[in-house]
Amino acid sequence: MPMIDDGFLIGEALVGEEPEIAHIDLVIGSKKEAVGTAFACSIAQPRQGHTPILGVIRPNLPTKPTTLIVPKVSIRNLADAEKMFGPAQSAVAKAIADAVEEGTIPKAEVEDLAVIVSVFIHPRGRDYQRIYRYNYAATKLALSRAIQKFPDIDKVLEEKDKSIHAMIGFKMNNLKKPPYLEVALDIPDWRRVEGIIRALPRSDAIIIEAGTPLIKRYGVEVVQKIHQLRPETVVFADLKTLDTGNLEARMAGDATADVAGFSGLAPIGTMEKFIEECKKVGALSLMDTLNVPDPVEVLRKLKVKPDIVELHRAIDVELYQNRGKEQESEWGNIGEVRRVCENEVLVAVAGGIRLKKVKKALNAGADIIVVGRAITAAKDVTGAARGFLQEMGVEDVDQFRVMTDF
Amino acid sequence: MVKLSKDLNEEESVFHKKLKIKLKEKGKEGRLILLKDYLDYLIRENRTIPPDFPTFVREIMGLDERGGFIHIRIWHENSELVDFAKIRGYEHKIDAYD
Repeated sequence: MPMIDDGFLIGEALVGEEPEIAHIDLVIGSKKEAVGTAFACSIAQPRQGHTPILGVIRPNLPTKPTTLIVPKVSIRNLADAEKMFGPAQSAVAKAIADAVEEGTIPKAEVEDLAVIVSVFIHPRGRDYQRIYRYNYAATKLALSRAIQKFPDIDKVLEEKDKSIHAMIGFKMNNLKKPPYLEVALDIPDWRRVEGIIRALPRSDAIIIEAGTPLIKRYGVEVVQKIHQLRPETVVFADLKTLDTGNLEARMAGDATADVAGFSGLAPIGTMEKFIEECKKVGALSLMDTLNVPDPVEVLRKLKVKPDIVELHRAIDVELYQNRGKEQESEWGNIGEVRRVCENEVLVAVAGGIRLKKVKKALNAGADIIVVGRAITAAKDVTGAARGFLQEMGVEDVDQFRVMTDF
Repeated sequence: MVKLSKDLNEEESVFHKKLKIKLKEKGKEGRLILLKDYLDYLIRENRTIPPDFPTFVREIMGLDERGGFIHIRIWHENSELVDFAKIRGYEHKIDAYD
């Protein structure tokens, strides 16, 4: 039975903050019915300032199902056009393709369906980072709402008189190609942090952690500044949330965090709210097990699992030695963590990791190696980070940029 | 061959430098002009305001003037402050910290 059996479905979403705020109106349906007709008519009859364009992930790679992007605001000049043809077009296309990958749209039906996405970009919006992320998140949200036929009439009646402040973040990198090197920036001095970030090699395998002390000093907005310096890099906001899980996850999302972390010591309800909110805002959730006596037991209790579990050596060594569990490693029972999360989890290991420990950690099953002062306090930050990447077997993706980073 | 520092004393990072920047006027007025200029630069260049901006303001207002220059801590030759000094035409030089 096809996903859409009567006409078409409609979804809408508003995501982000002004002036780059993204507002998506989306229609999905069969190519053989109304959506197909509208699609063909629209592309054949462009209007001045509202030229429809195909959704492409990159030039020469259109997304599937075939998607038509229609600008809502008149494109008046080249700057407006660049925003639409660049970050917005790519974000919408990526969101549609990711929806197929995640099963929101059945893969078998992609050739039968067409999507029309109406995109709003404010003329004053200039931050490409935000335009991309907000439009990505808004497209995914609008699509899932269309398929769920959200909202039902009871929801409309319940909410119609309430004031809703809708701000949701995004997801750009799903961290699907481990291993990764997470550089923990726990130094509460922005100018020093800026220097370290500028000295880090440009590699897709690097995650930048905005450490808890850094966030406590400057606020979670520090994530945006890191993204300004390294727009392509995954940034993890190490909030170590213990309460108000959904609120803090949303704050991280609004600040453009790709990953947001909560403490495994938090109440189960807080952790579940945090994880659910991360899904909404398009960020990955990370459970920090610092001082958690039995992380596996906590994971078992969670109805929804985090995307990443970060294990800390000292506690885990004590735990597993004391309880005599099998498959122990220096950082804990990574295999058991994976089993509990049905293998849908990345495992990060943290705690005084030096170069000589990298292989051991990877062999134990770690996906992410968390390194702090061994890189950030090294005399040669670039060399230290590259040393870890080499030890991890990760090749730098762009040598030229590395060499010209100074 | 990549060598890691054996001594991880945070005070020894090679990135600790000073940006010597000449004020356009002496005294408090010069500092205010610098701060206004910096904020203007950040907004016009569409840069996110540095998270340490309040601290930076206090620091600038409190720094000693040495021959018309103030010495600002930086950790990289390409820091945003250096960009600012270059783009806005401030006489400046980068030096190792004493």
